[in-house]
Amino acid sequence: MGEKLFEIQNLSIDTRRGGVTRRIVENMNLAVERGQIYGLVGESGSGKSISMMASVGLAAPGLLVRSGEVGFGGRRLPASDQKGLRGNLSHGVSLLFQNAKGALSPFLTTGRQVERVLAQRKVPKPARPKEITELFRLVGLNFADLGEKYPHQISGGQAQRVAMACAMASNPALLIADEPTTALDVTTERELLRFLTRICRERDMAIVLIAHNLSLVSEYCSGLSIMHAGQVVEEGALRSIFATPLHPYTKGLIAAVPDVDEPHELVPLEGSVWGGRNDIVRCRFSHRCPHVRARCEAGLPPAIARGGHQVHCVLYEGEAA
Amino acid sequence: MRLPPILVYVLRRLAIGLVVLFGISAVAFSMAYLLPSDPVTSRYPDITNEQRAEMRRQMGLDQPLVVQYARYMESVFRGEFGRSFGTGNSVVQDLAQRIPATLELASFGIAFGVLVGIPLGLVAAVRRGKPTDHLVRVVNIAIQSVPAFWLGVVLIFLLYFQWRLVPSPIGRLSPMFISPPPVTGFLTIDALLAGKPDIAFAALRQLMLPALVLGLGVVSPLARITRSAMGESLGEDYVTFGRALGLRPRQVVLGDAFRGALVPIVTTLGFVVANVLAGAAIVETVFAWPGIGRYAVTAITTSDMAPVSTCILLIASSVAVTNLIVDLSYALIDPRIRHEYAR
Repeated sequence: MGEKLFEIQNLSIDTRRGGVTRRIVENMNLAVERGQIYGLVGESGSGKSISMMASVGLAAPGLLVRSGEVGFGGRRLPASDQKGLRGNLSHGVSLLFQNAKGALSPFLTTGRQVERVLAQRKVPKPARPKEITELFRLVGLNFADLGEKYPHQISGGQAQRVAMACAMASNPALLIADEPTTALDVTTERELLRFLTRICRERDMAIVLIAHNLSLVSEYCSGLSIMHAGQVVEEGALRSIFATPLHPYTKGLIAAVPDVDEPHELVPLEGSVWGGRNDIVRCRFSHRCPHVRARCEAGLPPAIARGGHQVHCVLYEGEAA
Repeated sequence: MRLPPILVYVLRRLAIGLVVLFGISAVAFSMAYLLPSDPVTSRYPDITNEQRAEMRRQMGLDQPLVVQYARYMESVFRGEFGRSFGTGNSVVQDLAQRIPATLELASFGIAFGVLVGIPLGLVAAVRRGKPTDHLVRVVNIAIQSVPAFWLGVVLIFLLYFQWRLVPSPIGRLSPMFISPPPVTGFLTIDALLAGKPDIAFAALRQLMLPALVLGLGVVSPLARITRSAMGESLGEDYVTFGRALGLRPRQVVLGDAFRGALVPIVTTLGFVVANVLAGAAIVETVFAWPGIGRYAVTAITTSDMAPVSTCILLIASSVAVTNLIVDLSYALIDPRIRHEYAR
């Protein structure tokens, strides 16, 4: 086990609309080691982005952070202290978003966008040009070509690289990448992820890769959490999860991933993400689970260690590891 | 020869503006003649019918409307806008005296409106749904429901007659002071340039109340558009990303989000300037302000045609120019629009 860098404990988030409160993230735990690439996978609306945004103090207005603690680099803060958590940004934590073109300010040249992050870090002015050029090179761009251009003048892939340069300008130990390649074509996607992983090795940076594409995550990550309807159902070493998926949802997901080397019949997952009331504590996969039993009504059990990872499912309660 | 694209754009807009002004001049001209009163009768109420017919012939009023319009346009192109019966001066001379008064009043009024309206909207947007937001909304509704002519009179009554907090509403400067030599036409600035701060202060005291009344009309439209435009741009991905990069909130809110909201704000400001020019007529009348608004109102009530049509042309051209400035400022605000114009 490497040194623990980033940790979320017991994070719960509610949303209230029209007087109805829904729990959209329930009792979430997550731990990332220094330099590790960690995958957070789930369907759209499963709470993966919301939980990670809340963990860095960027919970959308209107969301209610009910409980939880976030630890980063030895500092622990309650998750409800959003302002305090934002202090981690530019001090070791950076983010990447899905829509890079929209994420860059439309009013500044790409070079200027990187520069203002450096300014924020109090890099003296004379030192900045060299560092900007260096950051552009790091993400595979040529400053002379793109530094004077505005975001609307460059491609989506280039925009995501500029966003990467911005994120890297604060020299982070952790990068949270929220589906950074979803808006890009497949070739650009591979290229970008190869870059990310290389930078990750060069700079000993950890990445939390949020994705809905399990096969993509499997290529780059060493750790994995599977989220379903606001609950983490299975977590741990990626190899172990892929070798012996335990939770019925994980099994379903992996069965639905095509494999070029060993073609198998793809089995679609039945049903859709939990949309019901949240005052019911039961496992939120139970309504689409083939192994559902009475015990599921009592809620998700605490993590059960089995094989090389952990699962939250009553099926494995009382069994020996 | 190839002109820079932005210059082509400006020239095209000016050409269109000229066509628009032509149309407005025709409307202004025929409107002036559609008025039920007769300029000769209103000037000389006691003359005989023969004398009246003779006067009309001398003034060219017996000609068909089209001929009169053609003659009028011909003189306009020669730079002659006619003579005012009321003042006995040429309209150009009259306007040269009055335009600075209106400009000074309008500038202070708009500056007040901008300096109050935009911050109010910003605060409301950042504190959306919180008590501050609701308070701003109440203030806005209150301001909006008070008509300028009423507010002007009430303020004069309270602040001057009752409490003597402001000088009497008798125009730009109390006769106790000597006007500074005109440089900019703004009394406040000219007095400072002449090294007379006491006169500048006196002029400012005269200006305060009418500028406030005029400027209040600007506050609520600006506050409302700032709140809604900021509300939208604060939700943009680039604002979230800016925050995620650890940039200071001020840099994200005032730098990126506000700039994103600036196009609709400036558009509204353009409309508001047109309204201010129209509103100036009322405020100038209430405060005996010697500007073009009061000049136009006096001319209309006495069927003084030359000033009426010239004032309409003047106000229409300033609205057209304001709109052009607004459109050009988009290019300054947003590089995407800048590149669009340059295409």
